[in-house]
Amino acid sequence: MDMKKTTRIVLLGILSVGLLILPIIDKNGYRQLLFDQVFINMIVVMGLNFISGLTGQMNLGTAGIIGCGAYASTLLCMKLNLPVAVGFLAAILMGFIIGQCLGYPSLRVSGVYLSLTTIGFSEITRLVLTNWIGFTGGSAGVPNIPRLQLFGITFDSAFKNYYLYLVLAVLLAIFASRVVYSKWGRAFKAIRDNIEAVSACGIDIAKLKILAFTLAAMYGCFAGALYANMVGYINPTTFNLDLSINYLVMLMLGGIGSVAGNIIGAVTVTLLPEFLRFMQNYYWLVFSIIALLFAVFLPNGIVSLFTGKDKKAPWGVLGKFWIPKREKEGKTEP
Amino acid sequence: MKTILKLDNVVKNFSGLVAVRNLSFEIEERSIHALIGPNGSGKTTTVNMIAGVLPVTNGEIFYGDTKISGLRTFEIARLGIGRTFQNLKLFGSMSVIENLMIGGHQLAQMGILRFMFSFRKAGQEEKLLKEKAEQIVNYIGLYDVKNENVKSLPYGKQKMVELGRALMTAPKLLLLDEPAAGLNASERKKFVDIILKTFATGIDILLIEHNMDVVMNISNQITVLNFGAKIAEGTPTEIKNNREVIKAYLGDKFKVD
Repeated sequence: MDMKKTTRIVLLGILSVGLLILPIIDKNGYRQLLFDQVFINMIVVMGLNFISGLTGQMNLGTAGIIGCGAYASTLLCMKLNLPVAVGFLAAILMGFIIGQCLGYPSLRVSGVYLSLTTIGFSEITRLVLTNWIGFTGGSAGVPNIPRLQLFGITFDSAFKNYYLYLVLAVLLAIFASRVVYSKWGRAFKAIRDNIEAVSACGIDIAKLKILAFTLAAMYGCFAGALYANMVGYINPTTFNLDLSINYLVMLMLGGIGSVAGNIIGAVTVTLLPEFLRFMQNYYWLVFSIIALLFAVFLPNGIVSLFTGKDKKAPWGVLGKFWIPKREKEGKTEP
Repeated sequence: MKTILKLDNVVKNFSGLVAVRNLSFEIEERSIHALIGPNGSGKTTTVNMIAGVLPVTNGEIFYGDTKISGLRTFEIARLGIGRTFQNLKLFGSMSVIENLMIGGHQLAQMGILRFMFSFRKAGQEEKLLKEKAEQIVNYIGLYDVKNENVKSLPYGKQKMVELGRALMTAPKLLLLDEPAAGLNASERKKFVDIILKTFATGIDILLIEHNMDVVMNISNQITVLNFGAKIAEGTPTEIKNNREVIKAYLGDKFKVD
């Protein structure tokens, strides 16, 4: 076995042990909740990657998708007294339906217009959740959400959720990366690169775009259900445009198109503000500046430091910050 | 001789501007059919109508016995009509081999649900697709740059990648839109060799080209367009000696060698 592989396995081992004992070492309830949130964000971003990252269709409706998932699972369980696990499955089904419906406008409109369509979807969702008081509880939200019970365990604490969410995030990451590096992932990227040539290859673009939207919505809705289970209280104001933009920031900061990048992005954007809390009132300002710097100097995301053609020795990274490196634009015209 | 493609009184109207008027011609099986004409004579429009990128305003197009006018682009491609583009349309973020593998997307039949649950089968299919792509990459002579990003290749090689991608769709008829444009003499020679080799494997070709050397040397049949209408049709020798063509396209000083 060569050195590289050994180091990789060792690093992976350290990482998994670290992840497993993290909530045992850190008993702080708030931080445990934060870790759960990291896993949820990972799942959302991995889903968003299919549509905004690979296929290149800017989706600003993530908040609406998560909201639908959270409310679908919660309301189904509370109104019909079903087990929460069924609610989770319903959230996935909800994601499927949203994906199919949201995919259709993407066949007719593109670019900015599609982004506006997705914002529209998100806002409509939020307004319905706010104003359909009899069913959703309106802006007061839904309190006392029943917790998931599985194999005789009730997942009612951040500590228990941590392990559940860890397993789910890993499984979904494996599936996501399998799709990204399969013929589907390639075809998604092809749509982003040159849509006319894709259909000349005999590929049905409509089907693929809808597939990408569906995967994104299923990931998003499932994450929504996990969110409801984690906090035990949901309310429509959570699912606003800021949230959608936040997920796009995670996607771009981490690195578009790569699952590892999605994970890095989700971890960074969720945890970094917490590290900056000592700055009190200024911490959002500082965070925004850091995010902006990353966008300018690392256009391919943090993950490009470790992989691909931007790969450099660790000390070379510093140099990157002085000379911004862009994707090479090749000449296509004769 | 059987015809593989037939255009029947095809008309293309761009809101008042007639780009192609009442064009009818047939491509016979086992032939390299060239479509020539001065700039703006409607050659590319014709190819785009055959490939289904542009809808026909009037008239019909048949591929074998199937009517293809009205079908969508990807359906036409699946029937076995591959194409290259006049201005390159490659997938710029990917390597040569990946570009070719997208051409072969349809060869891998597995649906996403089955893919999710059968790791082994999915791997096999991907391997098969990769093998096929490597064959083609060898065939077009780009084996040593197969993992390079397509945008980093010189123009001539990018054109080759486009041809390779079209071949990956397993076409029976290949539409080549100005394949030799922008190539230097040696690249052009290589391209012509590949076209002839491809033709020999049983793929029929519709060739749009400005370069008279190429057209006269390799095509069996030539259709000449001017202002969207057909002005002549025949073998290269006939076209060379056609007064109308010489006047409209080749200029008065064209000499028969």
